[in-house]
Amino acid sequence: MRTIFIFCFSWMSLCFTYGQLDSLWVEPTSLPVTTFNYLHPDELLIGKFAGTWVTQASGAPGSDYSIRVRGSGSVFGGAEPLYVINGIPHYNTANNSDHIYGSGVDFLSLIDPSNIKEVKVLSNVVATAQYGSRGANGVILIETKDGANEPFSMDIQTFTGYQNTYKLPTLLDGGGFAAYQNDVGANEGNDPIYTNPSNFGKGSDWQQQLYSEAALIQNYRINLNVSNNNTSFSMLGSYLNQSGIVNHSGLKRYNLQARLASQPNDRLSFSSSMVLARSESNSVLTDDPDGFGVVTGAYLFSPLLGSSDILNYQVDNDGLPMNGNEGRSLNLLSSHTVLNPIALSQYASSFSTISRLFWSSRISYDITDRLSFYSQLGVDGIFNEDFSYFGSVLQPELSVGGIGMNAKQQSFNWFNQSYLSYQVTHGSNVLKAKIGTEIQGTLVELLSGQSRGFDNEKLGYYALGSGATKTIGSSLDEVQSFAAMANLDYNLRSTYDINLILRTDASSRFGGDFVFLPALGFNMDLKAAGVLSGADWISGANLYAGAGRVGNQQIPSYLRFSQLDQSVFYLGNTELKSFVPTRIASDQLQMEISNQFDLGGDFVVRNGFMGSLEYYNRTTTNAFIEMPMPYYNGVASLVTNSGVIRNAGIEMTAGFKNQVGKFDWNVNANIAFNSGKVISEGSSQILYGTGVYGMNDWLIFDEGEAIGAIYGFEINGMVTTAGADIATLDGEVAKAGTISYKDQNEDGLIDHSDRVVLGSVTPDLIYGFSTNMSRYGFDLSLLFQGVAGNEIVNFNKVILNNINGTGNISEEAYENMWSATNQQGDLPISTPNDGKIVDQSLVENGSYLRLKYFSIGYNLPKILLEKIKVQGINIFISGNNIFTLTKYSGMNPDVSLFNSEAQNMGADFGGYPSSKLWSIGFKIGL
Amino acid sequence: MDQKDLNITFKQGLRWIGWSFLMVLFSTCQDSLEEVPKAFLTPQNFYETAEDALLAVNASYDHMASGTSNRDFGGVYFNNYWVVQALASDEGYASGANNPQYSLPLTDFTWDANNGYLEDVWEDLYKTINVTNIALQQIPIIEMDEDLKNRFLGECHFIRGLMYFELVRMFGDVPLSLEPTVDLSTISISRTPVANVYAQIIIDLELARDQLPWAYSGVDMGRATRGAAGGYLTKVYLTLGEWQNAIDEANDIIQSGVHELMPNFGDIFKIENSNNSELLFSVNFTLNNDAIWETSQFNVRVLPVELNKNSLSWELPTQYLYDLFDPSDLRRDVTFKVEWTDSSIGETYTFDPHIFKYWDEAAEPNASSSSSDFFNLRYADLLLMKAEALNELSGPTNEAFELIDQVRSRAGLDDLDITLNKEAFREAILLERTKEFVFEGHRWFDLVRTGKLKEKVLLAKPSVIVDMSRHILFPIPQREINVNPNLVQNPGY
Repeated sequence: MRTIFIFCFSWMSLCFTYGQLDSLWVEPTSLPVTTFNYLHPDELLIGKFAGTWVTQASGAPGSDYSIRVRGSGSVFGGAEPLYVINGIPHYNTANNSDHIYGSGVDFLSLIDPSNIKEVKVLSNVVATAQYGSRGANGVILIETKDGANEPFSMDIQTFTGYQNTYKLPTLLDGGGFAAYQNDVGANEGNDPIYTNPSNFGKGSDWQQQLYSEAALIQNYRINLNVSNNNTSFSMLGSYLNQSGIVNHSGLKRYNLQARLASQPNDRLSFSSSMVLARSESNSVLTDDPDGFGVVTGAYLFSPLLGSSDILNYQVDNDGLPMNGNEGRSLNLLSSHTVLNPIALSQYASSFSTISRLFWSSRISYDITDRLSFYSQLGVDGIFNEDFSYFGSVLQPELSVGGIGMNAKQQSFNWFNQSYLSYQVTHGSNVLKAKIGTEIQGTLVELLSGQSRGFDNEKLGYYALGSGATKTIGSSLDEVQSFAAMANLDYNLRSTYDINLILRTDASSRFGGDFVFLPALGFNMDLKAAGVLSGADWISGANLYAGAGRVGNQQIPSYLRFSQLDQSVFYLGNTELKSFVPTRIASDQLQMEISNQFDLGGDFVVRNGFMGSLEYYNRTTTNAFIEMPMPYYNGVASLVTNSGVIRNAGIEMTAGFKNQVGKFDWNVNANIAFNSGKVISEGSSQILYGTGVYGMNDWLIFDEGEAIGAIYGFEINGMVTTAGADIATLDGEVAKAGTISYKDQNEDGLIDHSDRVVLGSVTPDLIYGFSTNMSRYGFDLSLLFQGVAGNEIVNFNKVILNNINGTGNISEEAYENMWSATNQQGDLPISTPNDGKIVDQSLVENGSYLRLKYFSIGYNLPKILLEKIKVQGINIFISGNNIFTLTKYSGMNPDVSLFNSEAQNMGADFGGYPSSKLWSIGFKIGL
Repeated sequence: MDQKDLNITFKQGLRWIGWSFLMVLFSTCQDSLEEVPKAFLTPQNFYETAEDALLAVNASYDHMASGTSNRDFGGVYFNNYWVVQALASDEGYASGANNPQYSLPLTDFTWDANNGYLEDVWEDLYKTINVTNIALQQIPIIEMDEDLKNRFLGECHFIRGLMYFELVRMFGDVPLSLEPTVDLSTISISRTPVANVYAQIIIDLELARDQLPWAYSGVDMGRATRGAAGGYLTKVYLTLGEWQNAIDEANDIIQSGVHELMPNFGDIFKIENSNNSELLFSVNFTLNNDAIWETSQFNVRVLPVELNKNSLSWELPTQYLYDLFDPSDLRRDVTFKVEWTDSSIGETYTFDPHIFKYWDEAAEPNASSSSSDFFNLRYADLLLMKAEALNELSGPTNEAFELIDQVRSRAGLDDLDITLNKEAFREAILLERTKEFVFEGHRWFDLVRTGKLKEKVLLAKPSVIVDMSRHILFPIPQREINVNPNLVQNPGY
């Protein structure tokens, strides 16, 4: 094995993967290099790997990240990559608990990122084909620290910091709101409601009350490494206490991680690792597609309401709160109730815990010089519990006496892989062969209970029995998979290499049918081949090509079965049960299979430059689609394999590392262009996109369009003078001050057939740039990252810009409000269907460039350290999300309301805002 | 053996160990790669006992009423069905406060194939048909009491026939699916001509009529009866112009003596009189703390906002309709109110005419949540249908006058002038239907059947344009045409 660069692996690692510039050492194991303050393992992927797009789905502490490797490989199935943690593969299924308020804590966040030794992203088919039916969306390899090559080291690290919001919309204050209400009335020909608006002054600032100015974060870690000639051991204990920037939310995490590796003799080696972790979190209601959450509540609630009297919401004409129950909620738009955000954060409480027990063991034994046996076994248990209570004080008119919920879920994932490998060397030629099997099972069991109508609300989710009406639910999800694989790798004179992978995979999800997934790769060492004989300044270069098939299994289980669900109806007042069909069997459903082709090369230049360039083309020929069905089949849609999608692109990475005297400097820059297209949509175009505030079908899956194409109405402009010749959505005569849409088919009517593609939620370009320099004991690290060419559907605008007078709006919206006196305004005075139309005004450019991480540290000089007998002391200040350059008007262009769901990317609405984090800390090496 | 032999044997042994290891894994895996649903029912592990058969039949009632599963928003008779019937006629108009893009075009006769209300009606009807298709396929092979089995099958035939009757009247030629979809080969079927659809409706309703009892007791009250099947057969024949058949079917029910007019018009709608003897068929809703889609939608939608009881004034009666009523007509003040007094605070509110007949104020003071039922078919309708058929067959006979006068006398009106000619009698029947069945989901059908859609709508809504070549059918929902290339749109859409 050759190391071609300090922070990249050789092209041929243990699993014979090519193009391994995708691998980075994230943290050298020894002091004193400062690193960024990572809280979640997925943060290690941000900005470092060409073609890996990382989106922070929600700013809630511990919530998940959405990862896309080389575009979105699936639209109606899951598109997340496969994670392989210490050899154990699994999908990091999002914790989409519907039993708590807000977004759940991600299961992956229970691995402490500081204990990760190395992370790799596999994206070339020769590498991902090793994972066969789960490799199509890329593979993230994570290895935890093993203590190797460290006689003894122990370090203690701590940091403390604070988080705050970095961009909140500026809303109208009390006086502004009163003036705005008068203007709304004036547009309808009414007299002013408030005689002297400015008397109201600033009024209540709900956002200020909701968000913390400085949410505290504390972290303590102790890391121990020890090794002797043939055994090494590493252990980590850590504690994280993170308050959320939304008051009443926060996360505590406890970790104990250890790994032991030993090679008792020349033939035998084994290693074993474990993670014991627990998280406890409090959440508040955010990220609700219906807008029933604190973030949207803080936008909407009138600043005229008293900020301390949060349970008396209704105001009379003088802006004074009225007493009584009826005013506790605003019924703003049909069927969208909004509660006071402060009351909601206090009286809708939610608590959840996750315990994770992960264990993995690997053994390898050289039976002869040529023949080796390798086996690994892993078990991963995740136990999560969710508790929530919705106090009756919030909506007493519903008179339910509080709603308590408790849900317990346990997930088991077990895995075994065993193979025999055979290696024969003939001169400088090496033949390696490998044959083995892989078996995996996952089991997820859920038990949940809900109770309503508590007589005494001092009792809550721990006393569900005391409620009046109780419902329970349970479910089970079991998946088994099996694969047999063979691998043949021939290396000719250390110059040419051919690698053949044959795999056959079967999963219970797809009826146990075996699918053949082969891949073939070719690599040439240009230096050894003598092609570069004249270019001594190049110290190494490879050219490689690969082609193969990989699969994706991320689709719910049991789709091959028709399903009957219980439903109730009444005859007279007698409740009767029935079983109604809710799903027709997709009995021919198969895993998604992608055909991928890669071509690329890497080079290293003597003075410290390195670079790589890759082209890829991945076509999924039987992509999952939710095919709409005629209703006489009884269901609205059926999952089939009839789509075809393609992701193709170019990835470039350049690195530089140099040491001039005592000045160390390294740079990594990467950029990736991706084009994701729908090649065939199956039988007919599919409108999709889960309803947000009553608006659904905001995306289209159609031949020739981008993956994640946004679909809606194009805006013609404002109607300045009323006219019957202007086509309108409701067929009424267009009023002045309303918006007019483009009549695409020129039939004189605005209807759904006039919708067009308004953009795409997937970026064309993603890039990252990181650098680290050190001198005189100081070190400075920066990481920039960004995306370009994507659009965001900013559903927040439906609230912030909805100038129909029902709720508060943004200052900017008020300035742009059309009125007889402000004809330049581009915000309509009234919109059809309360503005709940996906049109061009909601679609914004999502490009951004962000200084994501920043860190500066100082290492105490050796002379001082020797006096106090420690190995090193490093003091650092670091920051996350320091600044963002973007035209996006929302809080954060790096968003996704629906977390990592491939079907619903690029929506922004009432999500938990992400925060800026500044921290200070030190690390002592003993 | 020397060292070399030992090595070879050792290697051979290892080879065998390796292969057998793989074989064992392969064979053990094959078994566990079977997916076994344990947390939900599938058709494979259902439809085995009489109880299963009952649950399968119940699914079709569920789909007509609430449809809590597999439905976004209530069942067939939850709301959109009667809203469409009321708005697309002289009977009602929409305030536009709810879904103006759907409700206003229905009011104004500018609806198109993207109308969400129409799509919902289509979806609900077909989903219910699918449920009956499954039951009709599965129940015959269940071993159970034959009489009960026949009753179950009769219920399913009735509901399927009813659903197709609604479809064929609203959309004309429609895809006729009589078996549940089992695979992708049958997912796109063409429209079946109206005559063939009616032939199937008659087969289904006759089977139902012959297999269903006249009445039920206990918890089964509200299920389909012989009267329901016969009543709808009467309506089918009336719609087809088969007058004698209509009269025969009506006579079967009249002679049975099972059904009668409630003596007091207002009592039909009282909560305590759910499933009363005037009702040939109704779909039951309930008021229950946990019920969402099982709750009646009438009052929340049609009662005035001014009540301040979460009622919304979404669909209102036209002034023309209100003015048709003679003040002495006892039905007027049951059907509508223009003022209401809140007895708790002694305040009186006045408003445009609103539908009040579904609100049993004494039983359900909290107006918006209600267990009021949907009254599909009443005995009064049967009487008027028979009178209409008699008139069409042989002019206004004494029997025809006697039938309409039964309905009139309950409303406190005098008998009709017996000198009316055939055309005048026709007009009198339609007028009686107008006043008897306000907002009961009959109006657009009645106007299309009698060919008076344009004439009557223009009286109520003078500014609308009614096209008798287009508006006598609704468009096939665009979504269905998009997903099924075999469907051709109705003329004019």
